[in-house]
Amino acid sequence: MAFPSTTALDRAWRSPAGIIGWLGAVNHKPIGARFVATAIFFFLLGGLDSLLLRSQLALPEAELVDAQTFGQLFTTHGTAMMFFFAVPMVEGLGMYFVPLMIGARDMPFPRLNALGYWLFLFGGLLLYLPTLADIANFFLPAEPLPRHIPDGGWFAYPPLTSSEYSPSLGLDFWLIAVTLAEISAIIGAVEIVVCIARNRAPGMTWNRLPLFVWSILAIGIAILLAFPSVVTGSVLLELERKLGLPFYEAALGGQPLLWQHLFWIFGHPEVYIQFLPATGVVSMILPAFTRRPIIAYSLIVVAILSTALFSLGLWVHHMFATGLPWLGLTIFSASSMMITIPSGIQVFAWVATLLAARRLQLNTAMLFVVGFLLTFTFGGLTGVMVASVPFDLQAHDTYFVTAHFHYVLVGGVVFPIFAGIYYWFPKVFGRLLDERLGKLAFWLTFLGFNATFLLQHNLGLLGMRRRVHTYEAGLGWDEMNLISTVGAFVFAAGFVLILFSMFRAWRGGPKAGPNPWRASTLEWFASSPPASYNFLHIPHVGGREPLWHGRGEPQAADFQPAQPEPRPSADGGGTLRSEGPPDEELSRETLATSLMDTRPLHNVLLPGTSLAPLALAMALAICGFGVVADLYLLVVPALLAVPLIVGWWLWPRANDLRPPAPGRTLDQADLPWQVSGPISTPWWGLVLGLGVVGLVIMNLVFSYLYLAVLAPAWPPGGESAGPLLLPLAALGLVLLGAISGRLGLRWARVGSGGARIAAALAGSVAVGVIALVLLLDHAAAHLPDPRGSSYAAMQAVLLGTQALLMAIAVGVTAVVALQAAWGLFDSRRLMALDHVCVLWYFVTAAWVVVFGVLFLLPPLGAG
Amino acid sequence: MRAHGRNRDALFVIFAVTGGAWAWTLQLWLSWILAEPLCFLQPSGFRLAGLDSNALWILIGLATGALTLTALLASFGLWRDTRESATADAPASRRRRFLSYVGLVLNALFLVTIVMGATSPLFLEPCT
Repeated sequence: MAFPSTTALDRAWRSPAGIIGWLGAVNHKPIGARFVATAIFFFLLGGLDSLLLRSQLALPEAELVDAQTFGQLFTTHGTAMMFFFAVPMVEGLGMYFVPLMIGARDMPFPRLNALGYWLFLFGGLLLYLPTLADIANFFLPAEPLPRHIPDGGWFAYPPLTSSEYSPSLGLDFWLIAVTLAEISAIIGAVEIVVCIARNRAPGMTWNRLPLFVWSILAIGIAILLAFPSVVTGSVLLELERKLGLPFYEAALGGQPLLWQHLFWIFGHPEVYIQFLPATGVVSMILPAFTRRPIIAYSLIVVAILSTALFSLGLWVHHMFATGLPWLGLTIFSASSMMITIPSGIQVFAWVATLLAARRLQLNTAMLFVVGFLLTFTFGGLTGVMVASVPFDLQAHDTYFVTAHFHYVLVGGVVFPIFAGIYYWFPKVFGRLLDERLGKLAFWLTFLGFNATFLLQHNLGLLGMRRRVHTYEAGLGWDEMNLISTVGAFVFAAGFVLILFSMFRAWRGGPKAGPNPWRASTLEWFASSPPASYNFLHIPHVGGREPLWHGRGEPQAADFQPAQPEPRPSADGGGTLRSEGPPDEELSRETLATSLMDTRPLHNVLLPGTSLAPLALAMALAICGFGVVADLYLLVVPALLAVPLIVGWWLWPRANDLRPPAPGRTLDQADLPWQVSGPISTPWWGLVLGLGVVGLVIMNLVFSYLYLAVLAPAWPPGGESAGPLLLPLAALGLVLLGAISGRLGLRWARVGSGGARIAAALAGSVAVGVIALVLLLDHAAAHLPDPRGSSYAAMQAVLLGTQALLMAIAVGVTAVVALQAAWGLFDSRRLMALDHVCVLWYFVTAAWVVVFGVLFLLPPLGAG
Repeated sequence: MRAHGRNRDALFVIFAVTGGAWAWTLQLWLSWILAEPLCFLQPSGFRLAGLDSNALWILIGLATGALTLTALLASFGLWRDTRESATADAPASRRRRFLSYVGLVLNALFLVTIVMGATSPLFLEPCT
């Protein structure tokens, strides 16, 4: 069978021209590039905030901005940098480069990828919407627009952020924006983890995985484990602000410290989620410009994994000053100390690689790497200091801490990202950046950064507090603050120079060719910019540095198609000759391989351009905006649109049912393309997604138990969960729904007709609806007023979450039942049925947990 | 039977690589429950099965430390077993050696962390 032509492949993979094609693009490269570009946009906005902050602090007793505006500026600065720059930036880099590095054509769930991007964009716009309104006020007569800029800091601690002390809608916008951004990050993490686990090219085994991919995998796992807690915390805070449910209000049994736990369970890993991919970038750049493989590859892998794991158990180190028992602090202090060891391992490995360089090329990318090594090591050392409880109690909330984390986050994250821009720009745009401008930009940013933050350590030790909008003259802080402000502007000038340099190169820089650095990893085998389909043939990887054959040269002979024949010949740079008619119809497809030995398992058919992700993200963002602004005329249609869009998304197209020539573009015509169960990549995505929902439920259970143990009495006097009968009956019915779904799957496996399968699924829907009615009836009859106590509020939120899950299971099952009645299933096409079963098992398990917590736990409470 | 053996072997490798991480997670959460919520309930310290909170803390450290040590020995055994066989012609064995090496270092790191965390009651009173 002739291999398809590049023209035919390109037609299958390229988004159609025009606005619809642009808005509906789902391929990993445009989506990854949009993540990166939008993150840079928010970096600019956050950077402008910081310049205003530093301008205010340049001189003592300055009045450029008042205390209120200062609070708003540091809130949007911190939020933009932490939620809308760093995480989307590293995820965007991962989305763009991971498939190229592991030899895949795309990520496994392209439409989800696009949904993640649009949620992130709309979240960022919602964050800055109040600021835009305020700017508009400046130009309009009589300030007609309301002022609602968030001002609770990037951490939003209650009770400051309760509706009593922050009555404007700013915090509500903040909460919705952050929730959308975190859901986007979780979607990206599911995508990344499944892609790396299941879409690696044959031969790309764990011991050959590029270190950048290891770091992206590690943060993907960390995001899945850590981010559900902030989603939970944010939803609880918004429920408290909007509906008066007292989760954090001490007078009604809530606990402000609960927010800190939920926030920092996410917040501490967040720092490492930004930092680890940055180390991955460094580990990619160093071998290219030292002309040798990285030293201690295996130890660096250990360091990446252990840093990600340790980061999940350090959250209390942000709460050392909250009055928690000392004994509890020691265990988090121990972990905080230990996390320096893996970071140290990486630093030593990089320094050793530099020292052992065969031929050191000190270009702009390498300068940023060296700048990173110096600044990050310094930040790491001050990190050891603040990991010590006695020192932290002294330095807490001073400029010492501000300086420390900027050394870690700017030195440890932003400099490697700049290095990555210089390293990968030629791959993405096919043009080289100007080296002279680049070196000037390095020195401006490096000197500007150190001028800004080095002296802030001293300011902190001298007692200058964070987040104060001014200070008195003559305290010995004046000169240091002035230097710090000048440094910030120098840093900004360096960054503007980088942007200018990128623009100039994009307009007409020298052409780069496929591998201008003669680097060793697979992304450099693709053309620059990469073709829409990445690789003509899925490569077969023969080593850790697949493009090096000992001479630092790309060797096309290292590549074979996944199947020994037909073997393509290379004309350099990954453009391989092909045959076949140019106008044939092809599917978008990539290879799914086994977890350990990357054995080809099946062909993954991927969807093409779709507007469904944009429509769904818009509907969700409009819902969020409408709820915040009390515009329920917007909320209702948007909410009604959500299930319709999901149904549209799930409904199979003709190409999904009868793909043209499946396996043709993979050299793997005999691989199955209709698979279900653990072998299929969508099953992995579903299980990880449900795992995240499970963690949200576990966070709610954690919150319930935390409040219960610390309350004087739990349940409070006179309140109870009500009789067991209806909830128990609902549990039985949910179990019946799962059994009925399983029956449908079994009938489909033995080749029963569509009507029979649809009947089994309709049974699931019917019992699910009855269970839902019973649950709601129980809640209406026995649930105390959720605004009256944290106990009633926790009951309401746990029951509400369960009801929502049941409603989703019912809705999805109804859509699949319709598909069955339509005759879309047979004994091979079972995936949707399989997923319905998994969903019902999950809903049953969740109800068992919630039921046990609400109805079976003995009374608790400190009294 | 062969599949059963393969599964058992996979579980052994998973334990050898991740045993320390699981043990540390267990220690962290159990110790935190001892130190924060339970101490809040009984600020002067409490007893469970005749043991005070500090003794329980050390016991948790010993149990999770022992689990990590077992994982460390398992990864060491795996690493030693692949010394001869991990050649370029045996990719499966090289993968195994790589994973055992990762497990060896990870478990050692977690063991030190568990020991550091477990010893604090030697210097602090219960529930302080």
